[in-house]
Amino acid sequence: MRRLVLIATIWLAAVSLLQPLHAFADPADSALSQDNLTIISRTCVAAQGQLARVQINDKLVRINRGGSYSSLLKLMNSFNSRAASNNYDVSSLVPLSSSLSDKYQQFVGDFTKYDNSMDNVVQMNCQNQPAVFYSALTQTRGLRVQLAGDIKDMDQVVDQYQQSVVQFRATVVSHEGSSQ
Amino acid sequence: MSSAPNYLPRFRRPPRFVLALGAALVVAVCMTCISIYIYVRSGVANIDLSRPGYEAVRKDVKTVDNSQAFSSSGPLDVKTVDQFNTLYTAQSKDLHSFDDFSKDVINNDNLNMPLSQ
Repeated sequence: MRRLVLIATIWLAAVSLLQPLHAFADPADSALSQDNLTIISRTCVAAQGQLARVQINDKLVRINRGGSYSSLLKLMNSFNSRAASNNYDVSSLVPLSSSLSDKYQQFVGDFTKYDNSMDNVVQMNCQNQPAVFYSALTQTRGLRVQLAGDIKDMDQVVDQYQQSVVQFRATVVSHEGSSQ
Repeated sequence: MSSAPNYLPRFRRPPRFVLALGAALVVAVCMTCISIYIYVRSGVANIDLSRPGYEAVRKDVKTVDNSQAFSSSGPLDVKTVDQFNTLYTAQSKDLHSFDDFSKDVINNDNLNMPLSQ
């Protein structure tokens, strides 16, 4: 009886471990012809080398962009605090800085997912599993598109904040004019 | 008075030094596991360029930070707003010089995988 329970447990564990792999492989299996699978097997090692170089450059982009967004956020928060402490209306500025903060957190999380996915693609045995490799590559492309979207959103907020500061400057000019 | 001989097996207690050493080892292993978990989980591992293999790109990391140049307190006039604008523009200009995760970089053509439709 005890042996039966042990075998059942091992079987269940093996099935649960293999399940994601099958789920991962299915879409590519159905979409790729035998010719394409052969091409992938033949070219994937060189592609993995190329992807590894892209991955290194992506980390650099993440660090440099991350540093710039963090600095911009600190600048925004300093400006908001200073304007508020001088009794100016900052209702047009604060939502933009908090929006950038949220989008930045989203970007950080999305990059972690993308980089982990890229790690998986670069390290897998692609010659033996071309369908799984291509499926993982397709997934990584989707995550890269998501990252590009995050950047577009953040850059948009950065521009909007600058425009709001230009409008805010007009308020400060009129305030200084009225107080003199 | 005579005491009966004790035939029960006697376990020698390990010296305190050995016990302390073992305890220190267990604590160190636990702390290391927690540290590595946080290192990986927080995403820092994904952008850690101090690891081997990243020597070439380390020099390309830009560390321009203008945020300390603008104080969060003090009076606010047109001159201060202009000063902020200059700092902000300089910092945001950098963004245009960085890549934007273009999807074409990893398409089939660039990876030399000529798949047929």
